[in-house]
Amino acid sequence: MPSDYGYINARLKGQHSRLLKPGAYEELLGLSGFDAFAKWLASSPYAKEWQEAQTRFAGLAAAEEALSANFNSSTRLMRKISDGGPGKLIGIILRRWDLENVKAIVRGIHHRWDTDEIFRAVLPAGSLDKVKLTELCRKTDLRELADTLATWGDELATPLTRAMPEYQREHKLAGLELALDQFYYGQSLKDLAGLDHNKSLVRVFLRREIDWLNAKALRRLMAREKIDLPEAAMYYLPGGKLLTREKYAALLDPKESKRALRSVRGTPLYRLLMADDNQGSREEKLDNEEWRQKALAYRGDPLGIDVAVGFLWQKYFEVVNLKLIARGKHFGLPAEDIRYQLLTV
Amino acid sequence: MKKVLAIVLLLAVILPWAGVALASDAAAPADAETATPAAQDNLLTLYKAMGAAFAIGFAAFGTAWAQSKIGSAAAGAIAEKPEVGGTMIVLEALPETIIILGFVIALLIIVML
Repeated sequence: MPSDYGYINARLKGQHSRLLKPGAYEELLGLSGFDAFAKWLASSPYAKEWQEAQTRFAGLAAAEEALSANFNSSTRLMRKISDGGPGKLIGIILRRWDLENVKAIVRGIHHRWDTDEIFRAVLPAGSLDKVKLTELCRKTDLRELADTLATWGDELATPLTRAMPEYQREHKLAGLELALDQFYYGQSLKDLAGLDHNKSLVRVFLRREIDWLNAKALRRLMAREKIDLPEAAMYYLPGGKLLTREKYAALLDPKESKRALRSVRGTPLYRLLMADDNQGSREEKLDNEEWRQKALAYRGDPLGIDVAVGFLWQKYFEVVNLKLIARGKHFGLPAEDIRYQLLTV
Repeated sequence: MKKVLAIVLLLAVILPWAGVALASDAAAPADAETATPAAQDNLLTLYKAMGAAFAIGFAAFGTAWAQSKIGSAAAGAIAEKPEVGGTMIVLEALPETIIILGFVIALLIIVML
């Protein structure tokens, strides 16, 4: 396996050339219904996965399965073609999906969703493959989930096991999710220490992500009538760039919040904190803007990790958009409604 | 990896000069004015050989470096799109011009000087 970016990026650029062209979404939005979308899938770069999915599922479920499987095969390829330094960085980036999947399973088990429902919420992309995720989705108890992860030697078992006694005492989901987030971001930032351009780029994106998560937590806390400051401080994720612990605390303090808000003016965080709650999916739109920065990294250093980061996010955008269109066509939503939800690069 | 490369480069620069120093000590007397014409000829031949070796050696090193980078990227591109194979072979061959120029310079040193 090669550890130089020349080979890896050439492969990823080849893969990138198979992404949908600008304007393709408009054509898909204009399709008459789900059957027309299914016909398009059969002749698209997703044809192989679509055929495989049809052997086990039908209709919308088959389309969603095919799209997830295609994203999974892209991430598997990224792992397969990289080794050494690039392999480690790609592993850290893809680990984010493991974190999201484990969080989705934790939520599902906590709310007692059925196995199929939980499985629909996960997107295999990291080191936890489809087989492992299927097994995890079958768990009915969170302790069992942590034990299974520990048996497989997965490092996400550590924060889950550590936060389990508190969860069993108080039955609060936030503690488990926070423990998982803190572990992933803390561990990743530790692995990304150094002056190397590639590590710096991934580190910058991770720190922005931490800021974003802290700002989202702040938004939810600020919307409450009464803020419990010690509890609010617990939700802080360390490692961000703009939102330091002091600024976070100041934003929660009614006397200090105006001054603290001024200090983040002109940044995406300000827009998120000031976003109007009544604007429906406004937060999702701002999420899109934030993720877009990662997708645009594709235009960066052609012999660096930039291409991998950019490709991964552009592929993710495409799969999410196609899932939205599939659902929209299946439920007969108007094109304008679907278009509003689409992620744009 | 970078350390190994630095050591190899350092040795590539130091060793030939060490060779020249040793060879010139053996071939020429300490005082150049008192050297015989035959000894001076030997020294000139040695310097020409060293110059030609440097011209070829460094050009070969540059070519190998460029071809390794182009080669790995070309392998990736061909794996994804086999139809670009022809173009990749042309691109892979481009750095050969460096070694050809090195060879010409080495030849000029030996023949013209």
